[in-house]
Amino acid sequence: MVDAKLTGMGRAEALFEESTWVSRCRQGDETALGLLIARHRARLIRTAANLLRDRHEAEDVAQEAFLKAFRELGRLRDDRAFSGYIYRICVRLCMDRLRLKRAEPGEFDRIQDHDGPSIENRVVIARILDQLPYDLRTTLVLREMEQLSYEEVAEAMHVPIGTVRSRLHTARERFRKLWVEAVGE
Amino acid sequence: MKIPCGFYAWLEGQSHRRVFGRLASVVSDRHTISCSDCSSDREELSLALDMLRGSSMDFEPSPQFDERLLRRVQVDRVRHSLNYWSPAFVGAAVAALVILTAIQIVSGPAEMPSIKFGNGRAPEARNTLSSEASYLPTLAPRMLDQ
Repeated sequence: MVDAKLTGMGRAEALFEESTWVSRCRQGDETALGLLIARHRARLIRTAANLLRDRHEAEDVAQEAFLKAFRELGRLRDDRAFSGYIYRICVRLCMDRLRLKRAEPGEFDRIQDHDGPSIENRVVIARILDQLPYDLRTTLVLREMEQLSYEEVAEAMHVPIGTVRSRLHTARERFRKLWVEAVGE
Repeated sequence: MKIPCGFYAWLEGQSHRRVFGRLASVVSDRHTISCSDCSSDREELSLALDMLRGSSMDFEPSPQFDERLLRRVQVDRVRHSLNYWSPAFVGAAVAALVILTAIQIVSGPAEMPSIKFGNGRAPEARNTLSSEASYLPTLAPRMLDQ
């Protein structure tokens, strides 16, 4: 579960660099802390925003994830695993928030055009996702929007791969039905 | 031979697809060619997922994000260190109190206050009263005699 940026600059090199930052961060080095934040910030905020559909809440969750990760850095056995570690924390924080929100059944306003990523489309997607249970919603978003593999989704959500597959099937089917209802026949 | 739609739906389930692998894909594809309903479902799903992917929220974080986070990290560290040291502070305070009390006790013997009631004549008075009380006449034996 490594950031796309890491694959571009040489995975091993990037991981070594990151493990050095994590080690320095343990000793209270603020520069290393800033470097870790700069590397993971965008990805965490994007994932949180896609899951929660709220920009401000996403930033809040990303900050919580960083705080929790830095606070519990002692628990991380392998410094090279920081990327996956902080991503898991972020996904779980998002799931906790989604669990607290109730699924809201609502009437859809018919939309006229669904060819581009317009504002209307985003609103409709947000309302469809609001109607899915939090576990199906998280599985769908991580797989379809974040393009994670089944293994990565399973790791982030802390469930077996078989569960991811069955949840994804159910989520896709429910999403399709809600989408048809939203855009009309 | 056309497979039933229910079987197609079952086959489309990701967990089953994993078991049957490529064969499942081939059978599913053949079914959608011959079944317009399932073909339309598949097309709808594809459009819906395209729309979902297209609505990804990519944006730049607010400029104060790093600053706010670094401040929160510092506050968190201070709070954590206070939490870590506070039992030691409480222990030290209790120990200091015990030592001070011990010093107070050892440094000078405490004088016990003596309280005298009635210029110390209370026991005398009690004894007098009790001796007089023994001579008090009682009516009961006389009444028996009569």
